[in-house]
Amino acid sequence: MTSVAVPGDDTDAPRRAVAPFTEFVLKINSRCNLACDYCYMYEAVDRSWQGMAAAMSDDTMTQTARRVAEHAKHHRLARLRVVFHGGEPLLSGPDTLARAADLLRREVGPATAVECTVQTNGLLLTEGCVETLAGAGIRVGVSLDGDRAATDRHRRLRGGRSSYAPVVRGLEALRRHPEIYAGILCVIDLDNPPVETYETLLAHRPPAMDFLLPHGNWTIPPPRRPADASTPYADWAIAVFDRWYTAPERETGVRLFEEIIEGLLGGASRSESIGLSPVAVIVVNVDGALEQVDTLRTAYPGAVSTALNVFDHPFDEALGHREVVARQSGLRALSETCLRCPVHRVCGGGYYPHRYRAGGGFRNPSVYCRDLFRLIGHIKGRVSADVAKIARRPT
Amino acid sequence: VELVADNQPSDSADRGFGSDLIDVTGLSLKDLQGLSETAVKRSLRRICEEMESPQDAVAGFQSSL
Repeated sequence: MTSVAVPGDDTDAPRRAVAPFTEFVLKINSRCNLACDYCYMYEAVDRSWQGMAAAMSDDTMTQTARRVAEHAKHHRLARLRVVFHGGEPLLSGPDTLARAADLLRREVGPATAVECTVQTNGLLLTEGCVETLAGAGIRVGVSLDGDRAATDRHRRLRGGRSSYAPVVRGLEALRRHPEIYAGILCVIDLDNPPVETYETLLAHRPPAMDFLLPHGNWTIPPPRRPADASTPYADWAIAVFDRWYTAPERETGVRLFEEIIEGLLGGASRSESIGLSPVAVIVVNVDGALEQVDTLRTAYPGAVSTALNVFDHPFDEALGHREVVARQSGLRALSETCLRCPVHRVCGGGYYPHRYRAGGGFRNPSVYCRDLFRLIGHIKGRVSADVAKIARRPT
Repeated sequence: VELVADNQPSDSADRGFGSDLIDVTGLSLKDLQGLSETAVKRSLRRICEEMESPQDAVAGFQSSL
C-alpha cells in the first residue's frame, strides 16, 4: 500500500476504501491566466506545479480515458462525473475539452452515463467557446467572488488589471445556454458584505452556488480566523443563509446550506466539504499522476501525492492509499473531540484539509469548528421550526 | 502563527444542542403538496425521495459545481 508519512496513524483503520471512485478531476492545464492571491495551486506551500508541463498531452488523456473506462466496468458504475480543472482548463481550448469528453464517453461506453463539467475562471468564456462546450455536452461552473470590488480584491489578471468585466461577459454568454450552466463558486471574504455578495451573484441567474471557506488549517490559519470564541465566518454565512432561506420561492441552490440541511434531516452529504459521506474523488494531474484533491496542497508539500499514475496503475490501486481510505472512513477518521460533539454527524469534522496540524496530521476538528457549530445550530433552528409547522398542517 | 487555543466549542453549556438531527419521521411527499417552492421544501422533498428510494451517497469535489 502506498502511503504518506502523516503522524496520527490508526492501525485499526480499514486498508481499502469502500466506495469506488465516481468523480475524476482531470488537470487538463496546469497554468492560469489569473493571479488569485489565495490560489491553492500556486500560492500554497506546495510548489510542485513549477516543474509541471503546461497541458495534458494526448497520450495522457487517452490513457486516462482507458483507466476511467476500466474502473467503470470493473465496478459496474451506472454513472460517473469528469471535472476538467486546472490551473485554468480553458487555456487548452474548448475543442480540446470537447474531444476529451467524446473520447471519455466512447471509451466508457453506453452502460455508464458520463457527466462532464469544466470549472473555469470565466475569462475565456466567449460565445463561441460556450457553444462548443454546449455542443459537447460539457457543463460549466464559474468561479467568482461577488461584485467588481470583491473580484478585484483577490482575482486579478497577471499584471494587476481587473478580471471582472470579461468574466461577467462570459456569464452572460453562459446564461444563453442554461442547459450547461452549472453555477457559481464563491470564496468567502469577510471584507465583502454577505447579502450583497449573494445578490450580486444571484443576478447572474446561476442554478446553483457554493460558498467556500478560505483554505487554512491549525498551522497556517485562515485569514481573520483567530484562536478565540468568535465566529466571523458563521456570522457571514448566516446572513447569506437567512437571505437565501427566507425567499418566498427558492432562487437558486446553495450547496453548503443544502448539504447541512440534508445532514440535519438524517441524509447523506454529496459534498466533501461537509458531512460523513465517503469521498469518491480522484485527481489526475497534467502528467498523469494520481493525486488526492489539490486543496490538500495547503497542508504540506507532497500532501496530494499517491506515487501512482495512469500509465502504470489502475485507479483501484489508489483505493488502498491511506488518505483515500481515511476520507472514506466516516466516523473512524474523526478526532475524539469531534466524536464527543453533538453535531459531528452533520459537519463530519469539516473539510479534511482544514483539519491539518503540523506534527499531528488530520485527526483534529476543523480550524473552522466554532463557525461550523454556530452555522449548523442556526440552520437547525430555522429548519426545525418549519418542519414543526409543516407537521401541524392539516393534510 | 499556529493557532494554539482550539477554535472549538469547549463545554456542553456552550453547545446547548440536544439531539443533533431534526426528526422527520412520518413525513412524506404528500405532506409537501400545496407548499410554496421554498428552499426548505426542496430539501424536504430530497430527503423524502431518498427515504423512498435509498441510494448509496458519496461526496463529490468541492472545487467544482
